[in-house]
Amino acid sequence: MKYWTRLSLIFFLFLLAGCAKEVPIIQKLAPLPAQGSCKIAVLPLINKISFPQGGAIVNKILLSELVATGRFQVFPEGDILEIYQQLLIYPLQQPNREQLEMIGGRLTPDLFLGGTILKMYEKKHADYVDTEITFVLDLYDGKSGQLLWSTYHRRLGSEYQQIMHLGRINSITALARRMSQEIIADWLEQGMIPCPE
Amino acid sequence: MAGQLSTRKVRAKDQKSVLLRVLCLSLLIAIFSCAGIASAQSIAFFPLLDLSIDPNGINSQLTEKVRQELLKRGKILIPAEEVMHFLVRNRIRSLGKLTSYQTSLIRKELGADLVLQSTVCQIEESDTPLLSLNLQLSRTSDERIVWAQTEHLYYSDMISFLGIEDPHKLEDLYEPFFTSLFATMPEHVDLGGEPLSNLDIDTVIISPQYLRPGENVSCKIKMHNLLDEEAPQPQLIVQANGQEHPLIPDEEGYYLQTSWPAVEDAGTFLITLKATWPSGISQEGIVGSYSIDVEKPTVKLHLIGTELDGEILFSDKLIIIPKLLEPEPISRWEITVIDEEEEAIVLMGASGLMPRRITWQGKTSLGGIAPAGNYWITFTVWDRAQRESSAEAKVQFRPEPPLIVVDVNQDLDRVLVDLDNTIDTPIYFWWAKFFGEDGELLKLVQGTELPVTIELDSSPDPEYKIQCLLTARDILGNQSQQNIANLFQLSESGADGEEFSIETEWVEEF
Repeated sequence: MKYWTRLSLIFFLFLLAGCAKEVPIIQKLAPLPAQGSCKIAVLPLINKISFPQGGAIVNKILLSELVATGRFQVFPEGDILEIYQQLLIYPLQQPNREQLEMIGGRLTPDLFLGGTILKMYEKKHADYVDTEITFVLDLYDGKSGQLLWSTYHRRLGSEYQQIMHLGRINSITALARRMSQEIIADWLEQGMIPCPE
Repeated sequence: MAGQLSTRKVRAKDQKSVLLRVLCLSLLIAIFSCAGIASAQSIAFFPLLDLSIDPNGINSQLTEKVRQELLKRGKILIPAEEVMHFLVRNRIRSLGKLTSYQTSLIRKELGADLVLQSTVCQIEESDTPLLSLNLQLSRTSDERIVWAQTEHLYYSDMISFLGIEDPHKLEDLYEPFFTSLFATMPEHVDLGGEPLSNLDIDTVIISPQYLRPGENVSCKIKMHNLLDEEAPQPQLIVQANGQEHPLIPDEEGYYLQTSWPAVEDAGTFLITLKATWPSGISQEGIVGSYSIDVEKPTVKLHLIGTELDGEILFSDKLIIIPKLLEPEPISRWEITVIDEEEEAIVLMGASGLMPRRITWQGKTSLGGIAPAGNYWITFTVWDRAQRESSAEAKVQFRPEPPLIVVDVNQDLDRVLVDLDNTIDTPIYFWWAKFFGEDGELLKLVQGTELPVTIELDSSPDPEYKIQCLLTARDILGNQSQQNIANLFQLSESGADGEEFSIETEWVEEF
């Protein structure tokens, strides 16, 4: 292959990589429940960031987006926290498999949705805000507490900018909502079976 | 005749038309009234949890604004005072986290069909305002979340090319924000459905959670339904390790309780609650677990000090490292230091994790310095089943610096200086400097062993002053320094019993 042809090919691949859409990275460790993933218990997310109430914000948004699809039954946050209190689990502590089994025995969900927020960043400028969120969401079996799927997702608010300032995401809440929608859509695309309609 | 007939026909036609109109009207009224009934679902709207303040923050101002927006959209709201009384009556201290049971109580106590919980995720009341709210609508009949929405608006989302009507304060965002927020809110919610979970457990107390074989496990459960005398009461049984244990009310009738002896085998056993209602419906759920521990912990002590003849010595700090031979979680630990009179001079302990290392600086628990001598250190741990293990070690605390005794003997043409250490701790090194009257260094001697005799080639003239600087350090790091202004004075005073000056502070200039 000639030098210039090779260089052109590399340049073309570089351009393609630039246009590539960042999608959540799903690691499938075990198959999701065969009976479907209708009932979901959203566990408090582990907060490894200094952003005030970052975990609580993402928790609320994630729960809302699952409900908003109209295809999942989501347990109220209060029910999960009540069992955490009874089992002496701190809200920022990831329950172990035995504890998940106990929570599963009480609520009988199909899946647990937990995870860790790795980065949450918001910096204001004159007319726009730089935002970034990185998190890992884990799906556990609702009976055994076994880790089934793990999803890594990282997004910047500027990635959604189209022309001028249009499309740009200027708040952590908006970015978390958009990322949650992307993840749920990806899960459904990857074979997650929601409630029968 | 024909005229009368046609008049009758017209009247009959008119009557039919009136009847038809009345029928249509009543049908319309019926449709509208049905629609009216359908939209007349009452909502218990709870105050806004404001996460921008703290995890339990409340935003009263925005609560009132959202309330007004809901009323503007024709929603029927339970009066705010009744909602507040409900929160107080049921001791609900955190907003936005209602449990299924609390949602069912709202139906019972407030008569609400729906519950609306809201959270302020982000809010900024500057000239670049930001508002993001999260709403969750739950149905009280089955305690399910039926609708949820998160809306957000930042000022730059609304700025235009010409800058006309750009938002500059929070109020400027309200109109587009609330229009978008409530756009998808259902006008009518189907009030059917079955609850996600029927086991309304309030509290579970399993004690102890870690125990030895044969010990009794006690399980106390408080059910929400027990407080409601009108509700049908289920028969409750606890299952553990294949055995069934019926729950019976305690003396106060507050808890249901049962107990059973733990088996001999080690392991973790799940406790399942099985509820059977009079209707025949039964449900079970895991309420907790207990673990049986058959192994005793074994703790060992490792002391970091100076070893001499098989004993550990220290002067300023002793590092104590406890180790479990078979690592396991412990419930508490304790350390004691016993002196030669068998009195505990240090007693310290804590629950939870065992410390990786402890440093003892030779102080008592009251803060005083312990006298030099032998001490016995005992470290005790208790595992989660309260099995105990101890380890003991002896140490010698020697905080005294070397005490060098100086003896000067004058000969005809020389001066002999004898140095000896009266403290048992071996010397690591020593040095002595002798200066003449004019500051001239007469002799510098150093060594690692005492006693020693130093010979000074100087005139034993009693009028001549010889200054001596003396430093000694033992193997534990204790150090002493002496500045003897006049060696001969020391000699004379030793003979005559007069006072002489020995300076113990460091005076040599570097």
